[in-house]
Amino acid sequence: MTQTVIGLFPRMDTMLTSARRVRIYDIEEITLLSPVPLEEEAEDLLPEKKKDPVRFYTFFGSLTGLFAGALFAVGVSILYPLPRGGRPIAVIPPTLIISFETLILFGVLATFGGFLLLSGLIPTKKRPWHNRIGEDRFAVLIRVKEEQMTAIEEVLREGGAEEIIRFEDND
Amino acid sequence: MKHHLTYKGVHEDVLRMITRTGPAYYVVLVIVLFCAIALYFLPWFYQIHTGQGVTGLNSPSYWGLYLVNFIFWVGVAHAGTLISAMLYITETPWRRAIHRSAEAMTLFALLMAVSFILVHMGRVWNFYWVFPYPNQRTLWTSFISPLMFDVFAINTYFISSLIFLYFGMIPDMASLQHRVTGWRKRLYTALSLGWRGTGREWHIWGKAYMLFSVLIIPLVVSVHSVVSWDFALGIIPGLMKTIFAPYFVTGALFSGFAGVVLLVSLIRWIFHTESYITERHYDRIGIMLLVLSLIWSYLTALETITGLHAETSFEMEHLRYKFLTPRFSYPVGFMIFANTILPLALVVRRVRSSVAGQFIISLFIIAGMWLERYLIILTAVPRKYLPYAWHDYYPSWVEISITAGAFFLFVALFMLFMKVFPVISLTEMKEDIGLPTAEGER
Repeated sequence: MTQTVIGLFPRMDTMLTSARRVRIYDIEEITLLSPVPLEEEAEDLLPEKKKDPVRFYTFFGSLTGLFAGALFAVGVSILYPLPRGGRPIAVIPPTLIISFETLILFGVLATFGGFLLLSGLIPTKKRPWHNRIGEDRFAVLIRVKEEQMTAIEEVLREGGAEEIIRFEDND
Repeated sequence: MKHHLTYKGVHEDVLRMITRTGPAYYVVLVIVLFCAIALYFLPWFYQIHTGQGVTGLNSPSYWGLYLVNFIFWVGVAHAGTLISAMLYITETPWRRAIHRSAEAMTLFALLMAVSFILVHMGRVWNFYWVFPYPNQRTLWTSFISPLMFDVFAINTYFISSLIFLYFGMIPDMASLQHRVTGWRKRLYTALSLGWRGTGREWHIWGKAYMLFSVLIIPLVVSVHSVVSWDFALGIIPGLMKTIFAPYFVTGALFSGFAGVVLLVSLIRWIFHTESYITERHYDRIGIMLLVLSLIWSYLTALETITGLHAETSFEMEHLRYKFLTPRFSYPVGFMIFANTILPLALVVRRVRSSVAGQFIISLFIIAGMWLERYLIILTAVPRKYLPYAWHDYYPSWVEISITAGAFFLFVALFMLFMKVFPVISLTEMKEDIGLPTAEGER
């Protein structure tokens, strides 16, 4: 049986210190919650920092947009020709412009889609949080076996947590 | 709001800007909305009911004030997202307090621009014909038309700007959702998508923000280039110029930056955000305005000099009509004063740092840049091709009224935005303050 606890800290450095200390326990999940990004300060606690999969969404989205735009402009010109005194039906400069615009459009949409998928937003159930995290507090969320919970809470309290909130996993 | 900035202080200030509204704000909003309805919507309905004959548009001038306004508003829309994207990539700290209002300006200015296409269209209920889609007429839009490029460019820009604006607000709305009530709470809860501020969320958010910025910068350049090709790809003397794309992009940025100055000054005066929008912001934007003014002046001179050098009868008639006809020579003089001479005052640091000084200069720049577009269209289209076809164009009261009404509508939309969403980025202001550590509480 696992339980989740959130330790709320007024300062970033004490929160990070506590987060590092609890790692000696058998922890299932440790997540930092903050009102601002903490990438440089908490590099060792953020394994996802090394991964950057959003750019692949952007790349493939943009590539799809490039070809979709070209296919659209050329394809429609061929399917519904507008004869202009012997000039080519499908013309390169307009195709490039349309392709460029769709490249950007698909790139932006794919990046946004990638962000939604990868960041795990739009949750299906309520997740542990505290209102003040968005405001001015830093927090560490720890999911741990029930028998270790007391020890974890003690570490957080010693580290300077001003509030410790326990959640049942089905909360 | 004059205090040492703290996380909590920023939170309270932004919350106050959204939720606490004095009666004066609503009185002004109602007046502005009334003016928008009276000057913009009613004349437009009159035009729809009566027909395009109520405008001054007639052969050969089928492009008039409505398209002047279209270019002007697309131009104003330019600086917002560009400022935000460009300054984000370069990690410029003074971006943080102004980027949200600049992005909102982009969105509403684009709405205004698109609305002028609809107004210009006449039979507005057929607007969907501009989109390429299979239909019973088996008639597709022509992809070789610059007007079709416009449809793609403007729609791409609108969607991208909307996503860019919304994306930046996700953490802010998550942090504010518990401090507001009623419809605002429901709105913020829905739009924040369950954001908690985890390391993973911040990481993906930061990467995506950077990618958006990278994609949007070339888009901004392309959009106004495409708008310039509406004119430059035709064969009308005064319009068919290779310099138009960079000329339009520069002009768009110039007017856009001036628009940003006007809006952030209004925010500063209404909400007393002197701690956030400081003289340093004005100093930096002032330098940008000065540089853009010099580039714009160079391109304007170049446009005229190359025309004189070409010395074709078409070009000479266009230049004579533009510079020597009293109807246009005075606006040309005002345009040069507003866009070239007056901004030179920004060389002086005290003028750059002065809120009132920059506000006045920006007002002149906005007027000057509107006139630039007015002069581009109105001195070229009535003089196209052979003299037997020439006919002077004079805008009717309907066109003038809708033009004025658009400014009120824009201000009304922005005022509503300020009461619904945080106009100063909470997250980025907190980043500006720094992380709270043992060295000092924040």
